[in-house]
Amino acid sequence: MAVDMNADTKVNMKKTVTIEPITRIEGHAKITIELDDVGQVADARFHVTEFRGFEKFCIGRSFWEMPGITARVCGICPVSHLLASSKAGDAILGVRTPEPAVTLRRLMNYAQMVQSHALSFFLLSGPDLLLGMDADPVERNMAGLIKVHPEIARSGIRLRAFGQALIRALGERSVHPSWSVPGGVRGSLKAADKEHFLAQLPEMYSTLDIALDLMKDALDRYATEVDAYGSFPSLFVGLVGSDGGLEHYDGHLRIVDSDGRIVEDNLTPDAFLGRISEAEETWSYLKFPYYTPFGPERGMYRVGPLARLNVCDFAGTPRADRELRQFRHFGGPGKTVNSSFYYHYARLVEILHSLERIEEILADEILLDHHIRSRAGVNQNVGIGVSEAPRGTLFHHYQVDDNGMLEKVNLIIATGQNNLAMNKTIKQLATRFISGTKLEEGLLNRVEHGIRVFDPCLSCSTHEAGRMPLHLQLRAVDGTLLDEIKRG
Amino acid sequence: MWLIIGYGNLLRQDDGAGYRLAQTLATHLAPRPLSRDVRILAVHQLTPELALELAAEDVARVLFIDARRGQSKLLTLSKLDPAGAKGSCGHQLAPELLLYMAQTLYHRSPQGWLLTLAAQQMDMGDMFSAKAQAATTVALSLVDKILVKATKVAAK
Amino acid sequence: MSVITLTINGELVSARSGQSLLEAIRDQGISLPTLCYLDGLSTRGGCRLCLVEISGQARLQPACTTTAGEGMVVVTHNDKINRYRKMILELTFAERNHTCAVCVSNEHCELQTLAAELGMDHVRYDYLNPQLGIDISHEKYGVDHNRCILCLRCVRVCDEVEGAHTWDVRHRGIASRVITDLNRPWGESESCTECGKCVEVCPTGALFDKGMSVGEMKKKTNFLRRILDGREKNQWNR
Ligand code: SF4
Ligand code: SF4
Ligand code: FES
Repeated sequence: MAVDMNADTKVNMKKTVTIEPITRIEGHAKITIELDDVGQVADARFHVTEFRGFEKFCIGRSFWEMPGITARVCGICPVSHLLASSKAGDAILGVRTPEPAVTLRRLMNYAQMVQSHALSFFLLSGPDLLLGMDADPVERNMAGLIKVHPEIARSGIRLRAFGQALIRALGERSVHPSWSVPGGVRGSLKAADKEHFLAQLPEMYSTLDIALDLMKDALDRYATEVDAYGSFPSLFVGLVGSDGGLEHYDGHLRIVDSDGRIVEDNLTPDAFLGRISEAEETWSYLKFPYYTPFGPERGMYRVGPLARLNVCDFAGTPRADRELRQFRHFGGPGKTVNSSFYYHYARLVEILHSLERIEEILADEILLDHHIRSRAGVNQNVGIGVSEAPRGTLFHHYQVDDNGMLEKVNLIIATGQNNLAMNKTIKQLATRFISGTKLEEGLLNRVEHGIRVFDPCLSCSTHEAGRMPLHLQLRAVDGTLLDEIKRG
Repeated sequence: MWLIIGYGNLLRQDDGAGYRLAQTLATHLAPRPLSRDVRILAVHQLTPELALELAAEDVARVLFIDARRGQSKLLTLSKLDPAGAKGSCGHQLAPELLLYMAQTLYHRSPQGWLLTLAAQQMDMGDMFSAKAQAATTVALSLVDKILVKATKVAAK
Repeated sequence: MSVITLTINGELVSARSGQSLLEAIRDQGISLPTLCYLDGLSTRGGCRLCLVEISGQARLQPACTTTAGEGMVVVTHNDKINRYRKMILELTFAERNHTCAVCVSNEHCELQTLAAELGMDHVRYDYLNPQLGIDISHEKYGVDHNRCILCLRCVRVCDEVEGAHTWDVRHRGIASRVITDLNRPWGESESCTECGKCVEVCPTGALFDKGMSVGEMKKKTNFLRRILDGREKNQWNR
């Protein structure tokens, strides 16, 4: 499919291409590509729906309720919100959260990592990676993948079900578990469940082996394209453990640049938030955050699987460390891996790491300890909770009065933090794949995929919005519709 | 065995109508013998592992319940064709795709229907619009009738 | 103790004289929905869920505040009454913002249970969406006016059993609010003894223990009977 973009254009007339919304990405999203008068890409934007009304909903409530409320808002990463929210609560209580509770929370976070990355890799990105970017869109989708590679789809589903079942075993319900609370958690893991999950691990590991092989094949196949998928220098941000290892639950924040240099280390969430600015001011939703000392251009940073692997010194589990070493080759000695295409690969490394950690934790005696909740009142008026969500670092920032009533709520989600990088990725793709004045189907696919590598989650909007067909509009700057493509 | 899956976000007003109807159905059917032939799930969104539920040995029919904005009728009920499974789906899947998955991946072909309830408001909150409520009420008796009829037929 | 006879749902039954109609009905194993009524507290007749039809009376009467009388002919359930009860529940939901999904009492709430039992699955009235706050100034407890149904059990238990009279109601009708100590924040109340009785008797998530998360607040009202039996009959059995 091609659209002639040069019919009767006047000089200086900017044209806008709108793709709305991105298929296989949750929520309502829209992409605009602006061309200048000579058909060159002037700008590209990925519009993210906001958490509209959320802040209003929470102000005046008590921080105790927040884990339950925030976990309810998002159906895709409820666990991440649950954990960040209860950690913000921990900070408000100002007491030590019992070690067994921390371990249980970690366990749930790893389970979440497994199920979420499994969906992204096997089912959402699988079609592009395995069927090819230029495959007919009629086939290049989940249904097509299922038909051509049923065994892969089945393993992906099993892996996801494993993660979900573990989350459910801990929190009773996978979708809105108010299981983690300020000060700890509400319940432990049953001994029988422990055995049940341990027994499934060998199958999960072998699924990962297969997936890693497929991934490496795909990397070979796309070798020439990888550079177009958001390959640019940027900062990377993520948690690392006190020893510098890969971390998803606690630790401190580290900022690394594309030369692999540590820009800042040992940052508390508070200190980190003090160093970023948002290009657009809203209290409730950080639109375009960047690292202030470097300004909006150079201060752009990425979060998520790619960033986490780039900032950590090592993974800390044998299998994942082996993969990490291979992963690092793609960056070159001492450097970070810069193409966003490697988000896919990083996801697999993280699933592997999570499985290993799950195995460790399930064997840990500490799970038998029943001191899992500390009780206290409000000891701090501000609490920031941070955790690594599948998509990147998630912050919950609350301010409460002395009684615990919320006065300010600020959620800084991964998709928001990756916003600048996603825009840049689209721009890079558009520049590379827009040939002359034609808009090819292949561009559309690649732009979609360019967004998908970040696995953005917009499901804080209604689920209903997420199923509109793909809609590409070509508009002149005065609003006249020049052409449009619809894809169901 | 019927599998009923209602889905939506309960904190997004009408968006949660399908979820709510599933919950209501569950309480509504619980005391009746009919409930032995029905399994009800209320979920935030449709996710791929639900295909495993559809593929369960005893499931013969699946009814999906969803809320939909911009539909003029209070309810629509349509038979789902797994072959109509489209690729365009977010983390949220289309019900057809789940049927297609059950078929292609697990060689099970339960019959599927989609019941959509008219929705109007989808802001933060848990209050349903008059339209969504009306749709829910009508839907409740409709589903009830369908289930009763189906068990009668099965008994014959 | 004299015995009276009356007809309930077509059956001739006996009751103790002086007994409330509600007790007489429940003694027959008939379940009658109530919200403001709580065994051990004075009756109020406020929620009107226990309305029944009494022959010779034009209007439905609350069973909790009516004394069972010799020869009464009573109907506890029929279409009209059922409809009426549902309507009352619907209005109750429409007047405040309940948001069950994230409520501390979710799945352990008398209001929610009744709605399910009576098959109240929708609200035909416009939600009033009042802007109501919470008061969590008390060290141990909190009140969320969004979930208060004005049953006034808290007011009564505090006054009649604890003897503190911390709770009261201010304004009338739809604008009513339960208040502590002349509308001071609960945490500043001088009369409250922090006994927690009000929290236990509150049928919804309106009163709760601080620090509770979704669905965690389970209340027990049976302590009341125990205390009262001890006091009144000197039965201090544990
Ligand atoms: S805690 Fe006790 S004294 Fe205080 S208000 Fe409640 S019933 Fe009254
Ligand atoms: S706070 Fe609870 S007990 Fe008191 S009036 Fe309201 S609902 Fe009734
Ligand atoms: S229980 Fe009788 S009026 Fe409330």
